[in-house]
Amino acid sequence: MKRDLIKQMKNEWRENIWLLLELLIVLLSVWALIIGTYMSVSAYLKPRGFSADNVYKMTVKHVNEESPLYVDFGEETAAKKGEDMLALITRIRKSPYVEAAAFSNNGLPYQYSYMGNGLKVNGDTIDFNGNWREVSPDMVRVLKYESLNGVSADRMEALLKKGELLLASSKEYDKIRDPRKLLGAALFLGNDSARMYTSHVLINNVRRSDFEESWGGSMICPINEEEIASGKYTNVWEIAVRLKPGTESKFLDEFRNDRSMQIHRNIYLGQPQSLMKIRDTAQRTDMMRLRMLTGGAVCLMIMVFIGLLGTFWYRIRHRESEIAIRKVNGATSGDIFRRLVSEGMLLVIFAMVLAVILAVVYLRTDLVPQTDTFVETTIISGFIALAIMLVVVVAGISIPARLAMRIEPAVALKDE
Amino acid sequence: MNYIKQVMGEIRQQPLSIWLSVGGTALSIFLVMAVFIVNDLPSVEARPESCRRSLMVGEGVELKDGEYSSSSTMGLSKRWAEKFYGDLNGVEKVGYFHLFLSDEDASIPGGLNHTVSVRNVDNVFWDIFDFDFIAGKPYSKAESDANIKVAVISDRVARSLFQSTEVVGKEFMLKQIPYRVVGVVKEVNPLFDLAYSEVYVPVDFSAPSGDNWMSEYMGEINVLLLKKKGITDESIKEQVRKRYEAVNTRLRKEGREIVYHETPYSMEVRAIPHGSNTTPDPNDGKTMRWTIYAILLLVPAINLSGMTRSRLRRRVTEVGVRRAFGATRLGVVGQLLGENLIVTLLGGALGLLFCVVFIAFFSNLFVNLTSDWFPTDNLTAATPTFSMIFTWKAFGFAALFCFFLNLVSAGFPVWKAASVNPAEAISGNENFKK
Repeated sequence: MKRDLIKQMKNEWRENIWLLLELLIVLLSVWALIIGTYMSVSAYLKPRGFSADNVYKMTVKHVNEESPLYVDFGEETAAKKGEDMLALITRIRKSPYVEAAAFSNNGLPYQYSYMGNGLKVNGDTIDFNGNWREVSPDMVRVLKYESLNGVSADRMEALLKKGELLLASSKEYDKIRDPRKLLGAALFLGNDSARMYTSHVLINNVRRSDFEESWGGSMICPINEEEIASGKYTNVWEIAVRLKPGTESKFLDEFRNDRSMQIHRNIYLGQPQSLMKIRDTAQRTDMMRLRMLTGGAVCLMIMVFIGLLGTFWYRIRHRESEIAIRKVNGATSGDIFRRLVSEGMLLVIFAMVLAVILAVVYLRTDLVPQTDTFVETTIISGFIALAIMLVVVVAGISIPARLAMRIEPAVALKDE
Repeated sequence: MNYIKQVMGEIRQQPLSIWLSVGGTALSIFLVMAVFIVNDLPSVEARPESCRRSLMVGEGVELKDGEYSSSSTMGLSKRWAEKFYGDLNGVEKVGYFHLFLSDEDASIPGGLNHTVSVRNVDNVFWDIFDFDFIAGKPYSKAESDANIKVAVISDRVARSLFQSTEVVGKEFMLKQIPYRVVGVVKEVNPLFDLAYSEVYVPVDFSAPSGDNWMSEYMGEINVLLLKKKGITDESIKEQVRKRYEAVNTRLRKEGREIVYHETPYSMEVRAIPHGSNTTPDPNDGKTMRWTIYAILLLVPAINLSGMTRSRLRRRVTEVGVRRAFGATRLGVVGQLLGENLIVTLLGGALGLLFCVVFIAFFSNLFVNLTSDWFPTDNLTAATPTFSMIFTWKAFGFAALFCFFLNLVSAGFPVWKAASVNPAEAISGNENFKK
């Protein structure tokens, strides 16, 4: 039967060649769309290393001298600013709705700033690179960092208080070095051998966005709150709070009505902004791209569905007498259905063979994105594209094939 | 009229074929137009950005110190913004403003705090853009130059703060500083990301510079250039390029350089993703867009071609009779293509209608803002209006696409059908059936 089917397809090559071309174009397009979708979704599904629910951000701002609220305390110093910030965070921590509050400089996710830094183990030529995130120890409870080497939250907080770093490795570094070897070692920042750090904790990476595959790892560096009042930190611009579940509106009301939470001398806090809302804005472009990719793939599938439906409808009407003769000779309705569906599936498989040849040619060119997993992603996406196409082809052909199953030989052959 | 009668007859005789053709065409036009309209949005002119085709934006500065060290920002210092973009030939107006919005607290005594988007703009900004003032007027050059604490606010902010739009002369606190309202404007659609803000205040040109050589050039100022009629983007860019070159002649002696990234940008070029240290490539995305158009033309064309071929099979005898009575091959081709064009236009009109309705209701899911650094609270307002979606350019593109789709999908089957031998077609032995 298979040989017979191929012979029939060969006889109708004029129509089949166009159908094959269409299936090839759509298969290649869907394949490319699935590669894009797969890369975005696989990055999105990777562990985030933090929890953004119930987290709010407040920006630290300075009352301008032109403001009637400006209080002249003499010269503005970093120490005075530090005292004001400490007073504000102390008040915020007293709120019954606040679970934890911490200072941050580039410490929060969903903000696209990148403070690149490199740590070096003495004698090693390879740097551990990542985003330098400065936070006060309470950030462990605000963002709920996830330790990869079994260190508890309390211990992480205690280690940050001691001045140690929390390290989040990246797959680039993992490929060439074992990040566990950094634990307990003396780590130098860049080429400055005077600034030495240690770390005993590996955490899941705090990425800048859920869609960002990797931009190196992260280094969580402690802000010592006791030293803030001495003016050591001049770049602390944010306070992050974790609220108790279900208390958001109560906290926002309290913040709005209690001036002591908003302003202390010449330092004031901007309105609290939900980290989830910041996330939605920051990832708007990525989400839109993902919708475009999946929407495009779905529309192409509908086009193929319509095309196959129309083509096979007419093909069946054209073959009415042939189908009737088959039935007269003992073919069941199931045989007729399977034959038509097999014809469509064979066309998809031929198209896939051609698509694979083109994909292999493409993978050998310089146009291939330089990511380690691209070949693997291409192969997996190819299988997904093939599976989707087969489903659509079966669905598109099933409707006219059912029409063929209902052909009555006596009616179809009455003119013969 | 004959064409329409013939198509109506076909709808009665072969409804499935016709409606599948209409559906396939509609889907194709829907997709093509969705891609076209979304890509065209950055250059569609509507209030207050009614001058988009004449507008260019000077943004970004990248400074190199030696071979490896470089630093860049999206804004310049006022001094260098003027040196690079001031007094250019062919430019009617030059405005200085902040490209980035800032989220600030606004309140009135005893009232609630509101987070509002604030944009710093000079007085020329109000001449370049076509704002709809509900009350009051823009601030003057004197007020702008002296950085007087005056503000133009949107009607939504006016209602939030004062529960009224008749608020000219009233004061409110912004960044803990009292500002006087001089004008209230109708809120701008966030899709117009240069003109959009909720509160507009003068630019502080006296912002202090940092302590290294780079900070002399860097700042928060961006430049709006309104070209005179007939002036090309290239002629403006060429002048700016020469100014960069003149500065670099001096800087290169010190091993330094200001990298020229083809500024200022037209609105189409601005919409291409870029940073302050990259040059937007106008070809970037064009290849992808034309590939999408080609796929969206080819796939339905092959689909429709098969259906047209099947439909024409049934009309071979009719074609034979027409030829036997003296119709020329070109005449038959014209007749059949004309009929097919009606079906394609019907599908095209449906597709365009569906596309406009879809974008009107679901644009938030697919239409992106030009800037990633946008305020968080007002994204739902970023919906294109009907006049932004349904432009004559879009309509013309849809019609042109329909014409090509008709030609590509029906051209070959129609030519084959018209080439039949009349005697064979009438006797039922025509080649076309094979």
